[in-house]
Amino acid sequence: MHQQGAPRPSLVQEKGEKILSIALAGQPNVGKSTVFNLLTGLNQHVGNWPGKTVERREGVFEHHGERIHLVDLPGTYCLTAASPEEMIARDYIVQNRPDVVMVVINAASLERNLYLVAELLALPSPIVIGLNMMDVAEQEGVLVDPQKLAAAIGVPVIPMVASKNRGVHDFLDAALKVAHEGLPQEPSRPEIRADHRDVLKAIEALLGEWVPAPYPADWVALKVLEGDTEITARMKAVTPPDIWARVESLLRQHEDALIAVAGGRYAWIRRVTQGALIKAHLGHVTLTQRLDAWATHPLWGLVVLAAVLAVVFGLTYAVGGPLQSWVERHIVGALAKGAARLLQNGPVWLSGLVVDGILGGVGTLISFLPILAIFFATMGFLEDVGYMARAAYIMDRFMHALGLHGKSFMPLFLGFGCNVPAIMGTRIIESHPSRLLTILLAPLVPCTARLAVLTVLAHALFPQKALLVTVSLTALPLLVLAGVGAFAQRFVFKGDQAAFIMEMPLYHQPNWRTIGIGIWQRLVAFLRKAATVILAVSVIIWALSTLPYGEIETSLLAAVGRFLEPVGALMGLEWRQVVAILTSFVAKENAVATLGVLYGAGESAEALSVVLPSHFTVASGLAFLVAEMLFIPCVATVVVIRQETGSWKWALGEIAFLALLAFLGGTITYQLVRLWPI
Amino acid sequence: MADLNPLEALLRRLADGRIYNLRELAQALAIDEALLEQMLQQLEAAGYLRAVAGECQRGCAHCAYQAMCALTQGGRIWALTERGRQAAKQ
Repeated sequence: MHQQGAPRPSLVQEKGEKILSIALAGQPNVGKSTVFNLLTGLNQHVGNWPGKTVERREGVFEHHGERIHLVDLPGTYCLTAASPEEMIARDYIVQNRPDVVMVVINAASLERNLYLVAELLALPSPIVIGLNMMDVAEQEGVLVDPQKLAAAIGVPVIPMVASKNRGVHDFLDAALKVAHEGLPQEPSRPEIRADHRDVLKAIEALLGEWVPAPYPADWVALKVLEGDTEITARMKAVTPPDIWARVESLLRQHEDALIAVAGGRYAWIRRVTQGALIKAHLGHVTLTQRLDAWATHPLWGLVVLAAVLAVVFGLTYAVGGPLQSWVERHIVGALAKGAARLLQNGPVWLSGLVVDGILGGVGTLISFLPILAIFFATMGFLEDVGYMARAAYIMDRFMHALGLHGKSFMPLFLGFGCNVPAIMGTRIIESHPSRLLTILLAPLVPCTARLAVLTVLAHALFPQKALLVTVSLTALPLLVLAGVGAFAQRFVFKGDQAAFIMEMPLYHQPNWRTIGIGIWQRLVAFLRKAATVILAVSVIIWALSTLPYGEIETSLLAAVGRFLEPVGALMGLEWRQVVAILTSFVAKENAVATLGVLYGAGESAEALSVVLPSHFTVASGLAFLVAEMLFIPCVATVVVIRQETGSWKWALGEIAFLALLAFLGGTITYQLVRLWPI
Repeated sequence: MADLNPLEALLRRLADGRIYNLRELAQALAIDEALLEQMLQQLEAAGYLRAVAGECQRGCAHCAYQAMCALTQGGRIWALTERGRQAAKQ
């Protein structure tokens, strides 16, 4: 309740003549400044509101021989205490009581604009409405009937197109008439819900005598009930403690009064627009709406999503595949040959380290860079045109149909990027069991790194069926997740659901520069990872596969691998392949690098995609990929699981659960494909 | 839902714990999208909803794949809070 300049009594005398006080109110971007400029012309003064950095514009001008003082109030959506602009606008009207408030509203966005009108009607000054942007509204198919709106609200409504100076002077004439004669009828004001009217009266009765002038007691009581922080704090300061304690007690009993008070305003908007808003958005269907009719449809949306995924992977293989073969043969292969020739007279270990360890591991992975670049490009394109939000939306519907829904969905969806933020995102889930279960399920969402490994190996192992294998194996962990989740939903998530509301961004033309920068950033980050973590693991794997006798079959790694061979045998995997899956614990991409090192992709200068198929059957290849997709997430994710659950018990439990799941998935796949060959 | 005010109708609809598209929700409530946004902002300010968009950024500052994150796609996302859930149930 600040003082906004000296109080201006109604129809004041200035140098012997009457000057009328008018305030101009409206939401931002409704053409209020245009109206102000048209009315005041050059007679305007620009300064700041006292004690604020908010611009204050006012002007004195003459109309039909009358002098008028016009103040342009800051543009606000409502009159809460959420911003300095809102407090300035409401305090000015309460304290200065202008003779009339001219409210500019946007006809194209009538309902939202009427919220401010609903709030202004509770203040002491009469109002007149300027229904601006009638031309824009008409173009957008929104037809507003000013007479019906005026009759419904009970205040004059003047249609205008301020940008073309149409109707502005009629607006002023109507305002002057109201200033002199008052409103023709009592306006229709919003009412609060019936079950809160007695509380409002009780608060008004308690606070009435303590409300400082010139604030209206009924408005102050309404604001206190609504939970307005500024008015509540002010009233608490001036009200005797015993009275305030009774007010607080009433407020505690009606904690959801906002729904009753603000809800009354929305009900009022619905009521007054019922006859006045004649045809909303007639025949005006935007491109986004047309596309969304398919992309967010419960059934067709899933078909579109499957088609989009198929196109992403299809394009990745069709364009990236031949490029990958070229890079493999002419760059990585040539480098390996050149290095072998250069180091042939040097120590054996050095040539082994460079050719088998570094080029075999990191080099092999780098040869897949074209495939990753295309994958990143297609995903970047989908992001940029605005499709990804639709994918999230339609996936939730799918999950909902399977029984897994609620708060767990959003964190799980994050897992498609990376499992780490997915697990951190579970903080939005209040219930401890639900949060824990979501954390434990999150690694079943294939992260981008896991998808990249799948993309690369599916191409190497099943060049003819890469697309089918990739799409099926992307869906597999999600189906496992849905199965486990649906089971858990019945027992753990029960009753713990919370809605999400998503704004679907408008579809727009792709910005190739943005997409290009995105691809570049991801490739650089991928190369950085290849040059650090993957390089280190490749060198360690090479060392363990060489020591102590220089032969892979008698190496330390072979000893470990052979120990695990019985487990691998059930999945049709030999020890090298089991070791490759194990090393993906450090970083998913290591699965590829390790296969490169252990199958000597660098030494033989033969591409991994050429070497690999001879070491896998269809059954063992599929089993390998299934196990890889279900296996323990990377070490960074496990560390975050420990951090977020606060216990190693859960982190280790997760490792055991997913290792078992990978083993079972791999074994079942191998045995089934062996029995019924594809 | 004829006797409910639009704010109550909105909360009642959110009680089933689903994910809603802003546009479809506005159509279902028979109100303008801009008005629905105003309602969401009001409910957010009062603690019934929480804006969650952009949350993943804190965990993936150095991640190569952060642009893949669904919550950084430009669209805003609100989640119903415990207070909102209690109000929706009533």
